[in-house]
Amino acid sequence: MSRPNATLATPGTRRLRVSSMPLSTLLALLVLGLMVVCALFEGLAPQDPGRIDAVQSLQGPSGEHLLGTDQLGRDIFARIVSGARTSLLGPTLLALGVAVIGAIVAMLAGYYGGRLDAVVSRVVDVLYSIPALMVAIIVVGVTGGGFAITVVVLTVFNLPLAIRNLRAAVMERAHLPYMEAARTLGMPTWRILLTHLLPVISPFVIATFFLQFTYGVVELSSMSFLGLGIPPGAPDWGRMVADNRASMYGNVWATAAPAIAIVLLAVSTNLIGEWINDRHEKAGKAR
Amino acid sequence: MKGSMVRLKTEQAVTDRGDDQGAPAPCLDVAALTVCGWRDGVREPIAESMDLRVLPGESVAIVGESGSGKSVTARAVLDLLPRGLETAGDVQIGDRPYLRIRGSERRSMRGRRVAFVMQDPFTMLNPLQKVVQQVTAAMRTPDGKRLPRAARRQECATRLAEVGITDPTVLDRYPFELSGGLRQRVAIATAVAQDPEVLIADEPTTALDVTTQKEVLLLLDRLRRTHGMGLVLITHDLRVAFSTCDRIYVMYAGQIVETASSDALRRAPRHPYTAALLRSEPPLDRRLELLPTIPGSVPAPGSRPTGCRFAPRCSFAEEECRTSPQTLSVGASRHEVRCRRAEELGPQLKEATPQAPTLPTGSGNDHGVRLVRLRGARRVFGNKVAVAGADIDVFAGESVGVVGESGSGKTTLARMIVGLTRPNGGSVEVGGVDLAAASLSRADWAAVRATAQMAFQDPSSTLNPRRSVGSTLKDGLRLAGRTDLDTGAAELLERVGLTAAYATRRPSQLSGGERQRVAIARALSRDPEIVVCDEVVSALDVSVQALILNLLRELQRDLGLTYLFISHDLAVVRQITDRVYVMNQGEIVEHGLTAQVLDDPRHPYTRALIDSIPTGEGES
Repeated sequence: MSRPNATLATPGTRRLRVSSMPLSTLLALLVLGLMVVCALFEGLAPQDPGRIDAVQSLQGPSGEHLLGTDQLGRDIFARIVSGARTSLLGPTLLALGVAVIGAIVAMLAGYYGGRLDAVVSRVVDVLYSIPALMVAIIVVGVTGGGFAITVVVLTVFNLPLAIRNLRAAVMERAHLPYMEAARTLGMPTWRILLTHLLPVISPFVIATFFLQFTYGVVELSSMSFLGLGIPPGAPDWGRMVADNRASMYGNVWATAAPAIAIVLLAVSTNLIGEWINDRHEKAGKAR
Repeated sequence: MKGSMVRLKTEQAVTDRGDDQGAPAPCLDVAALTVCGWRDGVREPIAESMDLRVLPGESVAIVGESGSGKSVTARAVLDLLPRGLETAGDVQIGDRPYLRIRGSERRSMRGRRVAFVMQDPFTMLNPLQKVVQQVTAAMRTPDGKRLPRAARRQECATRLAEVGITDPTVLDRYPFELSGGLRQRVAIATAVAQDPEVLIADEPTTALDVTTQKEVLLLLDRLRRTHGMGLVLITHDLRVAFSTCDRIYVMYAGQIVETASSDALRRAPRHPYTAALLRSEPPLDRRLELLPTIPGSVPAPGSRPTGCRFAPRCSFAEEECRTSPQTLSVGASRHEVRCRRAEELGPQLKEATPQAPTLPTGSGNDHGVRLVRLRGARRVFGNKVAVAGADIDVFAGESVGVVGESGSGKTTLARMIVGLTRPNGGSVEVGGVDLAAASLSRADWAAVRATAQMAFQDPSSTLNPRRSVGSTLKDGLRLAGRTDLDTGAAELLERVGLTAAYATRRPSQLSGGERQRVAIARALSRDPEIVVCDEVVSALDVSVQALILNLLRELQRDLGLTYLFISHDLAVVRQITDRVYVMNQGEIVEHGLTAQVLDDPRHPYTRALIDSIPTGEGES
């Protein structure tokens, strides 16, 4: 028998080629890559981010201090570089938690349906009606805060939206004929979920991860801005925006630079997420 | 009153145009129409130099397998192609050079002078609009205003009456509240609402049941006569084409390979492809020892051979056929053929039409091991009764058919037997396990799975597009406890007529027939005793359908398989089953030996079912 579509590229063997990426994605990768490097390696900062030098307070950018100093004379550039760690770690953990837990719950609820689905949906509805940031502020305020608690609380309250979206994606695809065929073969449910269902909803899981990451950057920064989550004194971009906004007229970069870093982080992850989604869609179309 | 004004206007237009002398001018004249697509920057013709003429009141069929380019041609004629496809050539509708006039004029001609009926009545109508709105959407008074409300209703009622809908409540219903046949009627009423000169119908009956199919075909035929409309019917079904159309164009791989009057083509096809297509239709009245097939599959655009397109699959092909492209030769009484050997092959092709050796239809085997036993099996969805108490027995080694139209409950029945749908009542025993029991142990399920497996209808959606053929087959082998997975997969592939090399392919790289073979191989991977075949050939082209039926028979012979064969197609059932159950609205109305039931139906429903099959004898 002849092969009808001899020209069709085999899906799955497509190579990742830099030249085929859009410029915006390349830039986003570059920015995010830099930030990840800063986050991974301690001591990349040219100066000690915690060194207080009252004499040098609120200076503008100069050769010695690239982005100037804050009210306590700490080097802004050094604080941005070393602040990358907490600023990236929080959103990553948050997004990972939401995407993974969301995908598992959504797959179970969407595939089994019935009572399980009803219970999940009601819990989601209830959680959904409670504003996450407010609860986070209260919980963190009551427990005394801390990075871990902040991330956990935000994860719980960001889950409803993710579960709702993913569940819709699952429902649409949970009973594709080839999954029923797998059922008649006698394949255990967990295997069907892993080999058949997860791959079809993975674009949605990835989208959820990146969307959540962006939300997470903003939400965690807001928490830091409010003085919750990150202990005072530790370099963190959200915290820096908050702490330095009073001295905006002394050195505008003390506030603007971390704010720009937050925006860049959010935008570049979003761009990368979109690009991954595009690739996935094209791969899906190559049927 | 207003309604008649609308019609007056169009009648006026018709008389204005009918100003020629003598022979009637064609209402649709397609000349050298070519449609091209692009793949990887290369221009690929999909349909080439199509010439088509339709006289007022004439019906013309374009027949071809999937991939022949027939639907693309229909859409190109209407200028309704999807983005990315280019058209060249001329289309004349009435007196207008349709493809050369401005877009706005073309738009205003669509519906008024040329109309289109699509295959799927489910998606063609707007689900949010009531019938009355859809039918009258484009109707205008002579001065271009929308019709007043009362006139709209009046007009809609007349139009619906014309398509045989007399129930006035249909006007205010939404499409989803109507059955498939009614929906297609409404779609046709909408299409002919403005008395077009040409009606193009793309597979209008493919999604319908046989009984409804017959009604819709008769309706199209009547409308063509009463309206003096040219009808272009696109279909894959030669029997449908013969029963309704005056003239037939047979398409293959983007070209017209033969065109002749319906009678001439049926009596004496002159192109080997047409002859082969005619032969691969399974007959209803007898069982053939081996169904004639056409080897290979329709080549995709871009990989079409340079010589005669059909040469690689043609049993009469000579060296020269493969090298030189063929042209349409004009024969007597406009019987044109695209084959250089047409003259010499003529008598041979005529003879080759049937008289293949026949087999007596099997007599069943109701004394072997009972594999499946249903007693009063029931399944209800909400307040809809899908299966209302069915008694069915299947014994080892036989082949049992379940026939019925859509909604008869036959698919639910099949799904109950393989454990995809749990019964609400009665008993469904498969391999000694009652699937209606309140709880089933792991061992029970294992017994059911090892006894009954299913082959599904649509070969494209039943295989996971992301997984290779090999990994799909290995799933089943692993569950059956095999350890030599690679050899097992290779064996399975060879069993179903493929090679071991297919294991690395993905479903997107296979043709429809190959996919169905893989789907059957998957069912066999668990080494079942009975395979439930749910409409396994209904999504396939006739020539491929015959290949799969032959394969199923061969597998039965070699492996001693048992089949439960679910189908709406009685001719197919004749070829493959020994005994048959006829289902209607959830109940089994008749059962017996296939030959007996089909030759001498007892129940009126069975009789109606048999009567509605287009015989291809030209009922007009």
